[in-house]
Amino acid sequence: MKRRDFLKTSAAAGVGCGFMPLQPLWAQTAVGKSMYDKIWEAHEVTHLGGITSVLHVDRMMIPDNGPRTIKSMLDQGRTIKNPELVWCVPDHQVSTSPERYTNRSLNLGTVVDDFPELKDELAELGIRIFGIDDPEQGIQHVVGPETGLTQPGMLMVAGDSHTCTHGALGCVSWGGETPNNVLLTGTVMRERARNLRVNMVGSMGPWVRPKDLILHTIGTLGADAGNRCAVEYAGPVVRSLGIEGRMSLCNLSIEMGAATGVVAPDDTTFEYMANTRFRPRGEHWDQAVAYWRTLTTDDDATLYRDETIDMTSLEPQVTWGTSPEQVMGISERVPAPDDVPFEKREAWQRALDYTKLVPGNTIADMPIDEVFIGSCVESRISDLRVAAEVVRGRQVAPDVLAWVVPGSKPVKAQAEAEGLDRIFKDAGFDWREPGCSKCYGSNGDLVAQGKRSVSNSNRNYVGRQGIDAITHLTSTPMAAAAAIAGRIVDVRRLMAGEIA
Amino acid sequence: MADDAVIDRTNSQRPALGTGAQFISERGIAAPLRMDNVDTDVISPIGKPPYPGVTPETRAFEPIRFFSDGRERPDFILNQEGFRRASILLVGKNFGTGSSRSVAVSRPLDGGIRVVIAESFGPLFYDNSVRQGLLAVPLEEAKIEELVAWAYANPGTSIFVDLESQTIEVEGMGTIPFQVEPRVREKLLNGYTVNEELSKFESEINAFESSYREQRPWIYQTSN
Repeated sequence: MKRRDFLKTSAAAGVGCGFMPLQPLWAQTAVGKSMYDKIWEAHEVTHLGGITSVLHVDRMMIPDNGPRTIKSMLDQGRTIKNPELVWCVPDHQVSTSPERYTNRSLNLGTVVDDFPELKDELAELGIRIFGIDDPEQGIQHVVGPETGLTQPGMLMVAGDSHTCTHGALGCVSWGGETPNNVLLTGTVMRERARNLRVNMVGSMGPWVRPKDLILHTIGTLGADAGNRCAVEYAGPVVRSLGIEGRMSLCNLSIEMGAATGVVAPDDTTFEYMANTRFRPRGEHWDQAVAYWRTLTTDDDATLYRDETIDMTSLEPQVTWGTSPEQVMGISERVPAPDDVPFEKREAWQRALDYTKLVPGNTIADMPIDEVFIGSCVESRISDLRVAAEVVRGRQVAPDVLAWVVPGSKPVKAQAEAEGLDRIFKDAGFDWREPGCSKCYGSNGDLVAQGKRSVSNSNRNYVGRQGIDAITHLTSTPMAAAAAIAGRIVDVRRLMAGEIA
Repeated sequence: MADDAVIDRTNSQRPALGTGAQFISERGIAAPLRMDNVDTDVISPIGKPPYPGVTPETRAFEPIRFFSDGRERPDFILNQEGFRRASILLVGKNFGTGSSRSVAVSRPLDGGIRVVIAESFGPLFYDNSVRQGLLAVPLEEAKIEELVAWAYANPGTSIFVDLESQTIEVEGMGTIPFQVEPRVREKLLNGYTVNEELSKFESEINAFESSYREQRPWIYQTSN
C-alpha cells in the first residue's frame, strides 16, 4: 500500500468524534484562556493541523500488566523515554480478598511483587512501582493524588477511563492511552477539546454529597453533554469542596462523555499537595505554586458552553436506569417513557425493562440484594467516614451482601486507626483489600446473576456488575443506608430515625 | 443491487492490535441500531464468561443480542433477516461511551463490523477505533435518519463508505459527504501505527523536552 507524506501539511480544520465543525481555539481572537487551554498549550510539542497536536506527557500510569510490557520493550532493545515520569500500581486484576497476600494465585495476571528482579530493574530506571505488598498500593486514581504523583498543571495519561479523576487537582488527565507509544516517545497525539464549564451554585443540603452533584449534572445535561469537551467544574459549591469531593466530580466526567474534567487549583489544592510524599520540594515548591496559581480560567476566556446549576434543593440521587443520565432524587417517581422526548423513549423503555421498575412508582423501598462501597469515585477516607456515620450502631439487613473496599492501603490504615473498620465489620460488612472490585466485576468480584445492587461506583450499564445484575448508583451514605435497610431508602430519613 | 450473500470486504482481514490497522473503504450492509449511549459494557462485557453458545464472532453486543441462556433476542438488529451480515452500523448519540477497553472495538471487528456511523462517539471508543482500523463516521442526525429509513426499505443491500473521498454512496440516495480529522484519515488510509506517526516528530519532541525540563524541573523529581 502506498504511503503518504502527511500530518505536518494537513491544514483543514477537522471534525473529531462528533459531527459539529470545531474552530481551533488558536484561530480565535479572544485573549483569555481556559485553564484547560493553558495546560494544553504548555504541553504542546507541535500542532498537526486540524485540532490535533503532539503533547508532552508529565505522568504515565501503567496498568497491572505494565511492568511486563516495559520488560518486553527493554528486551527488544527499546529505550524508555522519561522513565522517571512512569509509575504503576496494580488495581484491576488484583484480588480484594484479605487472603490475597498468602494465596497469591488469587491475583490475576502479574503481581509485580512476585518478580523482585523485574521490580528492581524497573526501579533502577526510575519507574515507580507499587505492588500489593507495598503500603501505598490502591486504586490508581486514589494513589496518584494521595502520593502527590499527581500535581496541578500536569498532563497525565493512562489506559483506564477514569483517569479524568485526577483533574480535581488542577491537572489535565485522560485515559484510553496505550502504554507503548507514551513509553517510547514521552508524548501522545490528541484532538483538542472544547470548553464546557459547569458552575455549581447554591448550597448543599444535609447528606448531599459530591456524587449527588455530579449525578444530577449528568442527569440535567445528558450523558453525551461532554462530547469532545473538557469539563471545568466551577462555582461556589465546587470551591467549598475538599480535594476528595472534587475527585468524585471529575471522576464521572467520562460518564458525561467528556474528554476530561478539571477543577482550577486553589489554596485547598496547595494545602493538600503540601502533605504528599512526591510534592515539589524546597525552592521548587514556591516555583510550582506560583505557576499553579496561574492555572485558572480567565474572565474573558471563550467557552463553548457555560452552564449554571443551582444545587440548593438537590436531594440524594439514585439512578433508575442503565445510563448515569437516568437519575432522579430519592423522593421522585420513576419516569415514564412517555415523559421524555421521542428519541429517548426506546432507550428509557429498554432501561426500565432491565431494571424492572414501574413508571410512576417511587424507587424508595425497592428491596435490594447487594451493596458495594468502593471504587475510584468514592472510596477515600472522607467517604468511609460518612459511611461509618450511617452504619454506626446499626446492622446490615439480613440477606444483604455488603462490601466496603477501601480505595488504597493508606485509606484502609487510616480507617482502621479511626476504628471505622470495626463499625463496618460489626454491622456485617465485608472489609476488604484495595482494588477495583465490584465496580465492573474485576477479578471475579461480581454481583450475583440477576441481583439488585446499590453501588457508590460510576457505571450502571447493563451487565456491568454481573450478568443481568441491576445497578443503582448512589452516593456512599445512600449505599450504606440501603445496606442497613435492605432496600433503597433516603439516608436523611434513616438518620432522622424515620426508618426502622 | 448487491445481495446479502455477497459482501465485498475491501479490508477483509483484521490486523493484530498495534500493527497499524488500515481502513480504506467498505461496501456492506448498514444495520440501524438506533439507540443513544450504547456503552462499552454492552458492546463488550469483560470479567464474565460468555453466554452459552456465543462465539467470538457474535460476542459483540452480547447483553442486548442474546438472553443470558444464549437464545437470540429477536429485537436486536443483527439477529434480523437482511441484517445478520451487516458490516456498517447506524447508531445514535455517544456510541461507545464508557471504558477504554480495546475489546469494545475488536469484538465488533471480529463480528465483521467495519464502520460505525453515529451522531457522536464516546471519546475512548473513538480513540480505540482509530487505533484498530474501525472507521467511526460522525454524521448529523437527519442524515443518519435518512440512512436508517433507506436501510429498512432495502434490507440486505449494500452501501459504500469511502474514506479516501470521505463519502457514503447509497443507491438511489446519492452521495453523502462526511469529514474526519485529517490526521485520522491519513492514519487509517496508510495503516500507520501511533509510533510511526510520532517518530516523525523526534526532533521537535527532544527540543521541547530540553526547555521543558528547565522550566518545570519539579515534574521530574519522583525519587523522594
